[in-house]
Formats: sequence, structure tokens, C-alpha cells
Amino acid sequence: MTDASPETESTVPSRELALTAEGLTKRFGDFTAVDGIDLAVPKGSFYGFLGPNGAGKSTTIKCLNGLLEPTSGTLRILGLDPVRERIAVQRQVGVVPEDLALFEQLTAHETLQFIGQVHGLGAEDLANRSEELLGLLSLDATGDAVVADYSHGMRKKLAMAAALLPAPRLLFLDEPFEGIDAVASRLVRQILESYVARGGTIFLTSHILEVVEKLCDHLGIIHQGRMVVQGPVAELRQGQDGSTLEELFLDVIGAGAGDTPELPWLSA
Amino acid sequence: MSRLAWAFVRYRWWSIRGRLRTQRRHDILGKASRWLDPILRVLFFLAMAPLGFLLAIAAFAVGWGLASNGVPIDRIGEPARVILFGLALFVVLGPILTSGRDGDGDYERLLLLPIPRTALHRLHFLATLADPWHLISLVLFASFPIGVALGGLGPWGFGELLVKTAAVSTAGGLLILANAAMGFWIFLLIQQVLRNRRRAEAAILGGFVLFIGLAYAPAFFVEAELPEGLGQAFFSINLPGELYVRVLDGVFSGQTVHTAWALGALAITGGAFLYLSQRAHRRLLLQSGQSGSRRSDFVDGVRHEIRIPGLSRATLAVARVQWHTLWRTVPGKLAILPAPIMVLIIGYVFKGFPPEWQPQVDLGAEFVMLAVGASFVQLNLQQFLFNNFAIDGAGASLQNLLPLHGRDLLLGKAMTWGFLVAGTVILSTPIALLIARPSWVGALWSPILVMLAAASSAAISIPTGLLFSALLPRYVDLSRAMHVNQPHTLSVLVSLVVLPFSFGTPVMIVAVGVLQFESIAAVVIGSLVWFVLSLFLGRGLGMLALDTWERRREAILLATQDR
Repeated sequence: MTDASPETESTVPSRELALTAEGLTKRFGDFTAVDGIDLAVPKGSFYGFLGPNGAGKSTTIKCLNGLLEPTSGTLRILGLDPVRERIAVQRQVGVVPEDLALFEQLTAHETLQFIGQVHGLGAEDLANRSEELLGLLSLDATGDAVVADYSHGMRKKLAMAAALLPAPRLLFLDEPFEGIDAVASRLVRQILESYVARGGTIFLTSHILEVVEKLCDHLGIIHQGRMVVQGPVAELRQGQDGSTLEELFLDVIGAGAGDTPELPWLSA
Repeated sequence: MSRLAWAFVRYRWWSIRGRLRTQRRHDILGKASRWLDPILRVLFFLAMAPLGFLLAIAAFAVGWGLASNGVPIDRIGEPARVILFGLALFVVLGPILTSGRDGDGDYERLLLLPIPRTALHRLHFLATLADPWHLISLVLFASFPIGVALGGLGPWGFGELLVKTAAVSTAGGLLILANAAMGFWIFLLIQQVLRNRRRAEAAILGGFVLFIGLAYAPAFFVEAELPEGLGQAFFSINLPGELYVRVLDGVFSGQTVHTAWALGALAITGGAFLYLSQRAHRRLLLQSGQSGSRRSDFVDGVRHEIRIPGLSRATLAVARVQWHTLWRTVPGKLAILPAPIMVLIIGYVFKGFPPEWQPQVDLGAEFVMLAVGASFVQLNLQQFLFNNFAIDGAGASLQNLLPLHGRDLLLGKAMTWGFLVAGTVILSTPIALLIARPSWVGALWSPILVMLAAASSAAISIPTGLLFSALLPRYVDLSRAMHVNQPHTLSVLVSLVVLPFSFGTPVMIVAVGVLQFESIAAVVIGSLVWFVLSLFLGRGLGMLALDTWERRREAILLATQDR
């Protein structure tokens, strides 16, 4: 079992960090969703943020994106304070949030136009990037239908296009592969890998551990609102005897080997 | 079946309780707002109790009068048709206006449970019988037979009393069931139409024009003679109500065959509506939503972007999105289109009024038109204006993820509302004025008066709307036309308080009329002063709204997600 000790956290390389959080806490009344977590995401890394359902992943991402105000703790994103310098941070960040955050009554074209204009993209640049993104994600044929009529997968692809449009330095992706087909999934993976290769940083949550294993070079696991393990994937897997990420994950959250559950009444 | 019915009842109650319990993520104002809303609704409902009581007394008195031969049956036939028509309208409109997220639309998920579809239909129908409008009918149709029984004690023998009271009671019960089935069927039909957005838009707008036409039709006949019997023929369209009146006619004129025939017809009508509702219910559950696409030349649109000096691109982008959010939804279209149409119709109706009905002050027509125009526009847009952030739905999150200043966001929204509030009044009222009272004076002065009135109205109502939208955001779903998209009840009350500020110019008109100034210049100057005051006050409210939005961003976002 990987130890949730400070030693593990100290293994984060000392290169420049795109995102740091110290003692990040978010409470809703007497319920603590995120309990004093520390994060260190190096620039140019592909950071996988994992945790079981209800662990506090989405709440953490919302705090990092400025959608929720942390109850306590300090945050630095690209060297800026996301609470005090919200606009400056958002100029450099792209997000695919949990609820996808799309206007139901806009078309894909109009959505991208809105985002481009708010980011201050030039008209020519905006038109070219939008056409390219929609074409790449196979949304060009339905670019004039309103989002309300989109399937879940199409919405996800549009949210991805919206996040990429302003060419951000840091991408937050909350379950980007959930609900999209295999072709789109491979395409998105290729786009993201190429983005990281060019110096971009990605903070990603996903339940598909195979994808995380293939893509991510850094990992953080949150359980019951607390960070239980964090560091480069290679280091975390040292001494794990070649076990998979799934085994590591289950081990860390304490859901490892156990008796096979039986429901004696469940039979055909 | 009874276990299913009980499960159904519990499902409804759990849904309501669940909505009240999911408050852990809210701040104090958010929690208070969520508790206050249902309480205010209950108070509104309780305020209607005296009406039900009065109806019960009236029904009892009529029953007693008819049975004791004090009132001849032919004297109550006509008013009964009108009342029953109104009741049927109430029953049909009630579910349409009040259906909510926890109500009718969500029954689809019950399809996944092992409940036969016919049983699901019956459960749904039975649940609608517990709606408040049916309870009012119940009071009405329960007190009438009691009046009949007590009034008939003297003139009728025991057997006759029993038969007649039973016939009247049965007819009342059948009418409630027939009305409920009719209302349910129409509701389901409308739901079905609304599944396709384009079809929904066409149907709702068509229905709206028809409604306006019917509502104002009598006004077009002010000077003309109505054809004899037209009223009775019109109200007889309500078949269940008409059959009920026939039953009463049979009972009190002693025609047993006539009574039995009408009772049978009433039962068959109710059964037919129930059958139709069952078929509509089945189709609705099996049908999926669909809609068309929008054509646009995107690249051209982006490259030829409209810019307005002094306004940022972000502000204009927000204004454009706000406009699309409204114009591409059925509730949005229904809020925008009626006001100018109503104002024009009122202009025409006003023209037909005899001289003695016209306001006794000079510029009286201007007063009426301005007051009516500003009120209609504001009342129609109130549901959006006072819930400005929640109407964006998931788009509100997007706005918060982008580098968008609060000032740009609020200014962009205010631009759209300014265009809608002031624009619609300015476009429609001068035309209505010219229709009502064609004169050069009106043609010259009315646009100035209208602009001042509209600008004063917008200067106050828009920042107030933004402020209360930030204070009391309430979850809405504009993609569902049948969803209750009203703002918080307290916001509705505030919007009504703000309304008198729309009357700046009309008040000036009345004031100079009363003071016998007879001076248009005095009206214009007074309105100008009023406008400057409104602007000053509006600016302060706007700053307050911006500050409130900044402080309550998180609470607003949670509200847009219905959390």
C-alpha cells in the first residue's frame, strides 16, 4: 500500500508549478467536502486527479476554477490568486466542467463566438479556430443546431472545443472521456497529448483508470475529502510489483482485496 | 392498485420534501429564500379560501332557491353556463400554469418500474383530482345538492327529494370527473405538442393569438348589436358544463327522461375524455423530443461583428446571448410578443369607446396607452427580468469560467432588457395612440412622451430586476414551456411595487389635467424631471446589483443548478 505520508507529497519535482493548493478546504454548512488538501501540479504535466464517487474531486475543481469560494486555504494558479485575480487567471485557463456549462439555446458556432469574444480573440482568428475545432470534433455538420438538441457526447465535444478555443496555458477537464464514442475519445486523447507536448498543463479527473494510466505523468488521489497520495506516476508505482493503476487506486482508498460480495437471493 | 396509489402519493411528497431538504449548500439568504417561496405560495392559496367559501354559499343558496321554487330554472341557466365555462377554463389552464419539475414531466421515469401503463395513467389522473382547482369544484358541487335537499324538504315528498338530490349530486360528481379528464387530456396534448420545439412555438403563438382574439372580441362589438343567442352558443362549447345545466333543467322541470338522458350523456362525455387522455398519455410516454436546426452563416457573422463605441465586445456578446436565450424559447417568445399586440388592440378598442367613457382629462388617451403599454411590457418580462441569472442555466457557469467582468455581464444583460422594455413600448404605444385618437398633436408629442415613460420605467426596473435576481435566484428551465418559470414570489411582489415608476409620464398627464394646466410642455418637463430622478436612483440600484452579484456568485450558481 502506498503511504499517504508527507514524504510522498515531497516527491513532487521542484520544477515550476502551474497550480498549487495548500490546506484547501471547502465546507457546506457542517459538511466538509474538501478537507485541507495540498496540490502541486508541475507546468507541462498531465495530472490525473482520482477519487471514488463523492470524494470531493468536482468540488476541488470548482474551487480551482473560481466557481466555488474555498472556505480556507491558499491557491496559486499560474502564479496568480484565483480568488483575487479571477479574470487574469481565467484568461489563461480552459475548463470542461462537470455540468459542461453550455447555453442550451445557442448553436455550437454561437457558443464559440461568445467565448472568443469574451476572451478578446480577433474576428479572423476566432472564425478560423472555430471552424477548425468544429471540423476536427465532427461538430461542423450540426454547428447550426442549438445545444438543447445535442446528445451528451456532442455536448462534451463542444465543451472541449470551448475550452481549447482561447489556447489556454492550463486545462481543467472533469471526466472528459465519459459519454463520448471510441473515435472521439481517441481524437481527444491525441489532442491532449499534443497539447502537453507543446508545454500545456492538464488537470484531469476520470473514472476510466486505463486512460489515466496511459496519459498521466502525475497523479493525486483524494478520498473522503482528503488527499491520500500524490506524485509522479513512475514514483508512485515503484515497489508496487508491476501492479496496475486500478490496483494502486483500490489499495490507496482501502477497497483492495476483500471477500467477493454475495447476494444469495440474486439468481436468474 | 391501492399499494401503487400509496407509493405514488409518497413519491410526490418525497419529491416536495427533498426539494426543501437539499439546502446544505446554501447561504443564509439562499435558505431563507427557499423556505419563503413555498410559504408565500401557501399564503396566496389561503387568500383564495374566502372565494371558495363565497362560491359554496352562493351554490347552497341557488340550490335552496331552486328546490323551494323561489327561483325559476330558466333564470339560472345562462349564469350557470358562464360560471361552468369559467370553471372549465380554470381546470384546463391550472395544470398548464402550475406544472413543475417534480410533477407531471417526471412521470416518464416511472415507465422504468413494473407498473402497467394503464395503471400509470389512472394514478396520474387520480393525482390530478387532488389539485386545488378540483377541490374548489368539490366545494361548489357539494354545497349545491345540500341546498337542494334542504330547500326541497317542504315542497317535495321524501322519494322525490331523494331522487332529485341524488340526480344533482351524481351530476356534480360526473362533472368534476369530466372536467378533470378534459383538463388532463388537453394538458397531455399540449405536452405532446411541446415535445417538438418548432411545433410548440407555432402552436403556442397560434393559441396566444386565438386567446387574444377571443378575449377582445366583445370589445370590437361595442357599437354593434350582438346576434341573439350568440352568448349561449359560445358558452355551450363547454360540453360537460352544458350537459350539467341540462340535468338541472330536467330535475327542476320534472322531466325524468330528459334528466336521465343528460346524466348518461355526461357520464359518456367524461368516459370519452378519460379514454382520450389514456391514449394521449400512452403516446406521450413513448414519444421522444426533436427539433430542427438554425441556419446561419457563421464565418460571415463573426467577421462582420457589430461593435458599439463605448461598449466592450464582452458586453455585446452577453447581450446577444441573452437575446438568443429569450427568443429561442417558447416562454421567452410568449413574454416578448404579447405586449405590443395587446397595446395595439387596446388602442383599437379605445377608439370604439363612446365619448362619455373616455377619460375626462385632455391627453387622457395618452395616459391610458402609456400606463397600459409600460405595465404590459414589464409584467410580461418580469419572470426573466427578476430572475436574470438563473435563466442562463448551465450558461451561468460558463460566464463564470470566462474572463468576464461583472460589469460587462450586468451591462450586457441590461442592454437586452433596455431594448426589450423600452423598445417594445416605444414601438407599439405611439401607433396605438394614433389608432385611439388620430391627431397631429399626438403624432408629434407621443413619441417623446413614450420615450420618457419607457426610459424611466427601464431605468428603475432593470437594475431592480438585476438586484433581486442576485438576491433571490430561483431555478428555472426555459427549455420546458410547461415548467413554472416564475421568479421568486418575493421578487414578483417587488416587481409589482416597482411598476408605479413606469407611470411617470402618465402621472404627469393626469396631474396637469387635474390642475387644468392643459399644457403638453408641462407634461414633457415633468416627465423629464421624473426620468432624471429614475436614472439617478437606477444608477445606485445598478451599483448595488453589481456588488450583490459579486458577493453572491456562488449562491447564484448553485441556484442555477437547482442545488
